[in-house]
Amino acid sequence: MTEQRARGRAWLRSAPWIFILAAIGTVQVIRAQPFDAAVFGVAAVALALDAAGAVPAGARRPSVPISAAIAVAGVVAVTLALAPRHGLLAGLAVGAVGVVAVALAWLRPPPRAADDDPAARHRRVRRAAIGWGGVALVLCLVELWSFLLGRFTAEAKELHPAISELLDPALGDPFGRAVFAVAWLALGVLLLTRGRSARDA
Amino acid sequence: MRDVTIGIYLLCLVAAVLLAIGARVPRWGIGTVTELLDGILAERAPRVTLVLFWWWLGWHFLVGQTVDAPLAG
Repeated sequence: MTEQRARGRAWLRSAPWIFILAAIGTVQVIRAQPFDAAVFGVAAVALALDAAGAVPAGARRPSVPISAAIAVAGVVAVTLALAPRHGLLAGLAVGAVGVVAVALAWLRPPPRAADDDPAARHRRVRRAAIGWGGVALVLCLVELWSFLLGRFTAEAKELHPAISELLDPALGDPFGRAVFAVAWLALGVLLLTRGRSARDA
Repeated sequence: MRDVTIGIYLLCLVAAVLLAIGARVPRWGIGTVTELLDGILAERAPRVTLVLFWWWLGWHFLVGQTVDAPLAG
């Protein structure tokens, strides 16, 4: 395969994800949240440059013991549960998590052992992708619909609640924040410990 | 309409639980979340997108502005 064709395929594989980042960034512009919009915008540009070959190939991610990741996540969860919501300490903790997590995500995950039956695994993964993709798509469309319809008046907001409005009251007390922080960090540890490909093992 | 919207959110939650349980039933032939993530996150673009969106959820709910005021009234 020529380098040009390989570059074109890389673009095709990256384009949907760059579009998703740009779309989320656009919603943040509508929300009048410039910082949030800038975060997604910068990420979209970085991935576009990467797909164009303008960024050097990343190194392999260092292996982080799962026990260490869970210990750090536990400290962060306690901090977020006890720190005032929307405060400086919560901002520093979540900001630090973001810097480390995105830096790790940029690097290639460690490889895993080759599959015994790659065809069967492919079929299972395809079915899971259709199922989870369908759930994610419905959730995003209803959330976007609610966000747009609920923007104009308090009555419309009541009729079309976004997930943020439904969860917001529960996050007002430390217990609610602790439950959210644990679930959020557990998902983060899951995302940062997967992606191991057998192809480059 | 509010109940319909909340109902759809809850249906999505139920579907997610069923998908997670279904992955444990071999004859259903559905991959687990970890198998799916290993497939998706092997490439940089989806890995950075999903990790960044996950991070933003924490920022949105714990640090940034969670609920937007309506434009009128």
